[in-house]
Amino acid sequence: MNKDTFIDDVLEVESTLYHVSKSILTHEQDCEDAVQEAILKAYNKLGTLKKEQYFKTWLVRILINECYSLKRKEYSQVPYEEYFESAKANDKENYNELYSAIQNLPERIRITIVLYYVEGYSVKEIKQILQIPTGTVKSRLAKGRNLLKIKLENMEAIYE
Amino acid sequence: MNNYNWNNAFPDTPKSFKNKVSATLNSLPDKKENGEMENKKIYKTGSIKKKIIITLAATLVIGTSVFAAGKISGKIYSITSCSSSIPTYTTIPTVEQLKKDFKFNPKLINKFDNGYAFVNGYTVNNKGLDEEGNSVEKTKSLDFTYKKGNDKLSLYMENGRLGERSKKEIVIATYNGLDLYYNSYANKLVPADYKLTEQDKQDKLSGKYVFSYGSDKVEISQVQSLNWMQDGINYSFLGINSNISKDELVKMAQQVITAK
Repeated sequence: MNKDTFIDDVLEVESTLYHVSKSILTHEQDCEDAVQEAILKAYNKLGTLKKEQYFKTWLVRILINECYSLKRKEYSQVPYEEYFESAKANDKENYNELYSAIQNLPERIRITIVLYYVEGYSVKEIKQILQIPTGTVKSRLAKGRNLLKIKLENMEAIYE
Repeated sequence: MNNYNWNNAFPDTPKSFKNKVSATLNSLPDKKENGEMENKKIYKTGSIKKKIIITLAATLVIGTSVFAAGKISGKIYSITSCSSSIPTYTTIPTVEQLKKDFKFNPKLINKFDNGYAFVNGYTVNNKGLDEEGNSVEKTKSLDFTYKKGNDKLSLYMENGRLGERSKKEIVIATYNGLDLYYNSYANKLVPADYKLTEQDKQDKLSGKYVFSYGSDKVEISQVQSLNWMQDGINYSFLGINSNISKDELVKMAQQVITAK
């Protein structure tokens, strides 16, 4: 894969990269840092990608690793004031119910749900991306579905 | 669960995120390309879409076997065309902008009378190489994309011309003293390291396909081109699997020629 194909392929999955990073990280700035790092790493490691058809899942896997790496630093590095200001700003955004419900899911379940329902990955692909057994993917999806159902029903009840 | 609109579950990707992606991609260092062709020595970079356009443009300029004498030293045996996959312009540039960026001043059309409208513009850097791969001539060109419904056309504007016109191009009209050259053919775009099969060799000889190199997979397209030289600028319309007719292309060319 040459540089231009790489650029095209990254741009093609730009929204996926945002959804994935936003499923793990809280702050927009962190999402941007993670995607930058992931793109640079992917470009440098391009020679290790065996089949171009797996580029998207490969890049998403790299991004997830970057997100978790940043996540570990996230709370220790952000000053309290800044964190609460940012959290407040995020609260003001008028997100749709589904998004709010997804964001309230436990992290590991959230990323699985996003990959499956929002990004359309198969269970097999998610297994490879998250490097977890098929059974775990399925159980996370089942738990996620139940939790979402409860959360969305509660939201409807609140608004009624 | 499937009743939810999952496609719109997330807010739109923020501009700052997109900017970060663009900035990161723009800062990537170049890697060695593997675009050397087995028998034509054409090297190409560019997005898949751009590759097709540039490859075809280069093919048109070079033709099948006719090469021009280089202006500086040796003959031009091959042409390299490089473009970024990120557009230089997303709105039609002004004359001043082009003068500043390109130091040449092509005619600019935002929307053609038949409905084709400007979508974006890419910068293309071209090099004419001699037999040993030394650069003997350089040109800078613009590649504008126009769209009408789902139909796309490319208008390629080059400051000068590398190589000679293909003998397969024929004059189909003359307007304001300028000859308009038309060519139509089936193009087989293949990977850079592709080796022609016996059937391919026959197809090439019979003129069934013109072969261009640089794609990830084999793609066959119907190509139309209409080109002319005006004030030292080489204009070339390129339609790939386009529904546009030859007459319509001529009318569009006339609009460019008479534009101020």
